[in-house]
Amino acid sequence: MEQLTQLNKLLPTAESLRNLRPLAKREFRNGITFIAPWIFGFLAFTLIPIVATFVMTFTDWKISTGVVEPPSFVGLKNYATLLKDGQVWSFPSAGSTPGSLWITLRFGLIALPVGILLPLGIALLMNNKHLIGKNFFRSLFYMPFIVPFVASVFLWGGLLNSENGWINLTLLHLGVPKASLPGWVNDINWVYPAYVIMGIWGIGNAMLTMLAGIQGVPTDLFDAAKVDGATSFQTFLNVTFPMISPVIFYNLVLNIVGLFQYFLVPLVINAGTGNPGGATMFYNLYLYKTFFGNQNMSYGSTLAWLLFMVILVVTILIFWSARFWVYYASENP
Amino acid sequence: MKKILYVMSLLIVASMVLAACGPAATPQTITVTKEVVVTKEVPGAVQTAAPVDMTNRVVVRWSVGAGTGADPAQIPIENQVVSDFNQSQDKILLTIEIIPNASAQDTLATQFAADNGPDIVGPIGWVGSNTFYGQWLDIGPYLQSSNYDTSKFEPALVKMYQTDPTQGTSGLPFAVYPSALWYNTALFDAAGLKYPPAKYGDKYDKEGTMVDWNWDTVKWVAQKLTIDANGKDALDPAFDGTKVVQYGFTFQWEDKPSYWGSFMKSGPDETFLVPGGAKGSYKARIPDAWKAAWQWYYDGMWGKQPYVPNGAIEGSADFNSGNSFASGKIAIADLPSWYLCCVGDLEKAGGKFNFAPSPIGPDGNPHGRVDADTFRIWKGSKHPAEAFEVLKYLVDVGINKLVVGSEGHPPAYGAVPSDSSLRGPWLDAAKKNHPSVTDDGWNTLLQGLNYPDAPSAESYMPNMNESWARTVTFGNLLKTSGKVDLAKESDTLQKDLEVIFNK
Repeated sequence: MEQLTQLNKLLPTAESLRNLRPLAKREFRNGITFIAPWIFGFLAFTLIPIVATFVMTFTDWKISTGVVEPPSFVGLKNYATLLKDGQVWSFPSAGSTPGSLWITLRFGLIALPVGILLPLGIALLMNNKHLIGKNFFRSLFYMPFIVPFVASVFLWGGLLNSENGWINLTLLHLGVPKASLPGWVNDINWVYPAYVIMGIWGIGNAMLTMLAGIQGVPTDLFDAAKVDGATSFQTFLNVTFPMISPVIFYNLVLNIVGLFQYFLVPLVINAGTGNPGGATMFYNLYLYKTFFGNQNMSYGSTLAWLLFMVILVVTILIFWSARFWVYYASENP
Repeated sequence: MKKILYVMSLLIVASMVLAACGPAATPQTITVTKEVVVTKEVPGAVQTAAPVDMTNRVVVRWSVGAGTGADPAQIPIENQVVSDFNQSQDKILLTIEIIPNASAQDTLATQFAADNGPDIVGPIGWVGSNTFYGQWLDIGPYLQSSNYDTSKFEPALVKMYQTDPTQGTSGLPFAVYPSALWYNTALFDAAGLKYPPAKYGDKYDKEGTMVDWNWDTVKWVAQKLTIDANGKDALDPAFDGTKVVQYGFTFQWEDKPSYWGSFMKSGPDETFLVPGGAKGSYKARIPDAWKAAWQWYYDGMWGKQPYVPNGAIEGSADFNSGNSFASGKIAIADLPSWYLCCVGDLEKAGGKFNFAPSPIGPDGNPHGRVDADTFRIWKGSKHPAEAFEVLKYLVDVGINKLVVGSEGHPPAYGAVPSDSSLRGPWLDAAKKNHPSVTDDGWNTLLQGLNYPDAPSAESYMPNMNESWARTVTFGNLLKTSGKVDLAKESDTLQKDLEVIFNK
């Protein structure tokens, strides 16, 4: 609230504009002129579409049949449909097609810990004083992040090919029976691990930010811990972790937002079909298909708003939880 | 200077607004003069040009690509048919718009929405045309007024396009693909089993007892021909279902649940959509006969005595990466005739196959499937009578180049001609290419045209794309998971479909 008041003070009032000197007026006008393309872009491609999608959630409007009628007002019908849409809510159980929201959450249970703990572990290794060739390894771990994501997904698609992918060929060579080889992206039991493995390819950025966080921890804290006789694990738990918790928090938020927007891998690897057995119909993919495959603009908008609300709630919860585990040195002098 | 900058910036912004909001560039330029070249521009379309030498004609637009027809090898033949038509009369100028298949649906939807649709669309199958349900002209009145003779088609094929009373007659049979059971003769010989019956109505010699050729019999045969690594068949108590090296049966690429159901029973009660609903109150159903069919297929894949390869096995290199019948390790496959394209691997390896009739379903009648491509006239056509003339030409005359072909001139589409009098060249070529099939076998395949799925297994459902995708996902689940509670999952499918229908 205080920040808003301060922001308001920065904005010009009508009176203050009137009292400007000619030079300042011209500068103000020029400023507005130069910023106009951005304002136009923001309005046309961000704000108006956001408002439009919200309005569309109260209408019936689809163009898939080639008949375009003006959107008709249907009140809360789309929200009622959403509430009973099994493709969103069906609870997962063995041998069933789960709803897309559960698919996303279930995948998150595997992907999130890996996406946080693995880069953290690698960053700790990279920071280890006994590691020889640190720069080499840092570059090595970061390099895959530079590869365009679609290209790396195709690459992994080849590697994980159940018939002639290098991974299964290696497993076969190591003596794994052919019948026991994972089916990876075509196997309902292996598709999530396969996706997580593909995701590991992109942890370089998280690793780098965590490494920067670790390297920013004052060395006198480590010295004090050493003097106090703390073990390595105790040092990590009581010194390193609290000090880098803002970086972990930052990565967690990004990972969660990324999870709810998970889309590209199932679209490229499983052609957006949701196969095997509907297990890869992630929420965002379902949303995309509703909008651009089924061209149901109204229901797609409703799905988009649900996604927004879910991300908002989860993000608020994480920010709320931050007070219990994230340590900001600047707030605790 | 600053004023100029100010004005320039405003102009730039204004031009951006105008460019964004202005009408799209006119995609269509038709020039008709003496010795003209017809040029049409459709986004994403292959440009074609056909020289014609007459003026003052009604332009009829033919859109190709929503089904087959956009492959480079097909285009010259289609252009030739257009040229032939334009030379054959002086009232209509036929133009062709070839759209890549991947973008055809979007292009058509956009054109229809803009009231700028092509007059005639095709060849197009059931799913493709049902995506635009309600957009097609009932050609019944035109057939009547022109006294069009449909007796050259099997009555069942004509009826296939008249199953929906709200849509009238939606098309004429054109390119059809009858189905049959394909069986590997060598595997029957090796097991010492009699071949399936040669003709519809014949019984099967089950170890000396003559029995109906129904799905129970097929199951028994399939289990006898499913062999594990120790050489035991699936009816042997010592059979090891985890080490199967040869399976008895597959639907292979017919991998949609409505297909499995229709192979066992089709009819007015066998659709996902309960007839008579309206937007907001559509009802979905799972026909009992289809539930039984799915159970038959599911037990075949995941039961204790499996006789059907599941998705992972069928997709493995051991089973020819999905083209399993051609691997030589599948005894029977239930497939339409388009599979003739892809049985070469079996033949190259010295394998032989033949055709058997579709089995008798639970209602005592054989049920098959007929995949069919036809032409549809857009309801919004400004020239429906002329479009019907084109449709007649394509079905009566164009079919010779498009489907029948001749020596040195293969047809554009590898289908069976719907006109029974034109099947000679197709049959000659098929016999030459597949010598292991007997005359009885070919007759049985063609007899399959009398047993179409009517209504089609791809019949209309509201929100067709999504409804269809949901059923496909269900089918994929059955093929990929052995833990499915089929009754529960069928209920879930029904509920999901009902929600989708009413979205």
